[in-house]
Amino acid sequence: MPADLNPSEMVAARRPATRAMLYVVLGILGLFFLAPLAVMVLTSLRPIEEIRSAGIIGIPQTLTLDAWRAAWSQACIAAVCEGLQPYFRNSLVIAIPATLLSTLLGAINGYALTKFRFPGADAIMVLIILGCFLPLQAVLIPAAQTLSALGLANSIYGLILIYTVYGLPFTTLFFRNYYVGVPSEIVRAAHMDGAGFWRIFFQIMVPISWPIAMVSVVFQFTGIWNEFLFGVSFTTGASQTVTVALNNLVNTTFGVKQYNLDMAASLIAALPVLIVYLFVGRFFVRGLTAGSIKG
Amino acid sequence: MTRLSISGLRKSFGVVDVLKSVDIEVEDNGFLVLLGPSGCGKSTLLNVIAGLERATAGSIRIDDRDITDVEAKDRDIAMVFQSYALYPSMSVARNITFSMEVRGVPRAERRKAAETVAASLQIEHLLDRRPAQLSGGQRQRVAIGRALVRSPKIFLFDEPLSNLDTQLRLETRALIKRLHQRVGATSVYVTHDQSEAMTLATRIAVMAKGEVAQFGTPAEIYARPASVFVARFVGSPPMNFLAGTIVGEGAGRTLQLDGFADIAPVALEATGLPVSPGHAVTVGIRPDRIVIGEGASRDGLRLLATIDLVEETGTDVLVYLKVGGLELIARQPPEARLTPGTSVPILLPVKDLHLFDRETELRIGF
Repeated sequence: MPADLNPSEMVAARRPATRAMLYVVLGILGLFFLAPLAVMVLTSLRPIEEIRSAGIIGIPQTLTLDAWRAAWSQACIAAVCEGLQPYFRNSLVIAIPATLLSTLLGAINGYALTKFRFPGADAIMVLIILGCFLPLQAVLIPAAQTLSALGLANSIYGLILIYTVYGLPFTTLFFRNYYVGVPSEIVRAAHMDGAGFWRIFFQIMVPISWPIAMVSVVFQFTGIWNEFLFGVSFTTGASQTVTVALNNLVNTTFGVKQYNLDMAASLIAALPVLIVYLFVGRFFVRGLTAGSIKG
Repeated sequence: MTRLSISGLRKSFGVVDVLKSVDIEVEDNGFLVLLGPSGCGKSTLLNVIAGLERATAGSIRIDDRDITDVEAKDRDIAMVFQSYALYPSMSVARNITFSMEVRGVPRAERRKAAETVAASLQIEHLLDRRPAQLSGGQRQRVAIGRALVRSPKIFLFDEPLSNLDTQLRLETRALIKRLHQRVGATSVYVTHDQSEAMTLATRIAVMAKGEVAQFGTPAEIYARPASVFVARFVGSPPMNFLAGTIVGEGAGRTLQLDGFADIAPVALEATGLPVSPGHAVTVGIRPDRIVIGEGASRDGLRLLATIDLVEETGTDVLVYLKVGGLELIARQPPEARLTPGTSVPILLPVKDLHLFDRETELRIGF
């Protein structure tokens, strides 16, 4: 038996009945978790008349993309009838720079905290980790005051700043834990070769950081894209993020509830995160388990 | 011409004194080995020489230039690390010439330098590989190449062989020795392996608890260990120790082994040691100096031993002897025919005895 099988795999491999049980249980759990998604997708593809007559759960009799089209570019949010599209763009414009910035700054922090030990480094690390446990609600009012003092209230830049700063404790922790596993002798060797702080960072540390950078990017992008509280507190009207707009869209009803529209809009809002997971999910898992690069 | 002088060097981390006043002098083309058990401060001393740690007090000079407060990169010192410390994302060629890249040397020139150095280490065929694709021995060669390419004034080695297996360790040790003979640069080498120290060094500094316990040539340290600590640390198998007392006056002084009242004491007249009656001493003798058999008419302590265990190493035989409650190890030529369980007379020749003060554990006389 190969040595790299974990214990549960060994049990399954030994007894076919156990293996069959395993698949049955996994199948049931899979159906259970996929059911809501299936309902959403199916409902989003049905015309509203059919939903009204046949109920919210059902197999589509006629398939139509009308609800998707409407959710993307026609639906009314408050008084503006442009669909989710402008707010989707807002979210991208906020999430991408905030993700990249917080990841880069987290990498620099993690590097400085592990490879350039300075007095008080441990105390600073503890403070940064404390930041991970700070609930968003607790910083809402100080954040609002800071943003207005900076003249960034109700702006996309304000949110980029907030998300970057709020993400730093997490990204710093990621990179710190990763860089702790990188032998300090590498940095010492580079130091003796004449390289300084930034050259060592960009030429030696960054090229070996992609596994943890993936983790950081996925974590940050997901968090920022799905974030609602800061979005709803600090943006109004045209600068709303997609989650806020989705909420407003679902709550803006003229007469009958447009379930197909709501479902399509929700799926559109969830799509970027799904895509990110699809493409870099495996790097995410690999990065979380990546140990030393010594080998 | 590169001479390294370290004087009054001290290094403290908070209240812990890792180095307490170290004085060492390495001559031009010298090969200094810092030898000692883990925690003795030898790696710290190397890091202070490298400039990776700041000295708390004292000075380091290269020739007549004081480098105590000079940045590591400006000291013209290269270092080979225990874990190789290669840059994981760079090719072997780029690893070797990274220091030149930092200095802005053009690409073509760097490539040429990498090729020259690689040829001297027989790793030309590896230049475009990544460190992860190399074996341990190849990695250490690259690490040595990275130091060589700089033609530094001083080479530092931090236990460079300890991650290699026995065969590679011998090969790489010979490689380092050959390079040192060819390049002739002043080197400082840290190890806890006394055989590396004996074979490579022109000078050894045996370190213990942040101090230099003895500083001298390998031969001096082996022949005249300055303390029980040095005697125990250098030599394999280690020196045997027995307790003894000085008896008698002047020319009639003798050494009596404690607990062996029936053994004839040995006259110390010929040795001229500055010892006084009643002086409690520790008697040391190297395993290869113990004579099994009558030992003809030589002067020494004659004991009756029981052979406990015989270990054949191929080149020689290690004999574990029981004498009273003591255990001694003797190294004998391979042709020696010895049977465990039998009793044999043994001789500890007086001229091969090392005497240490039992209180201070320091060597007595010369």
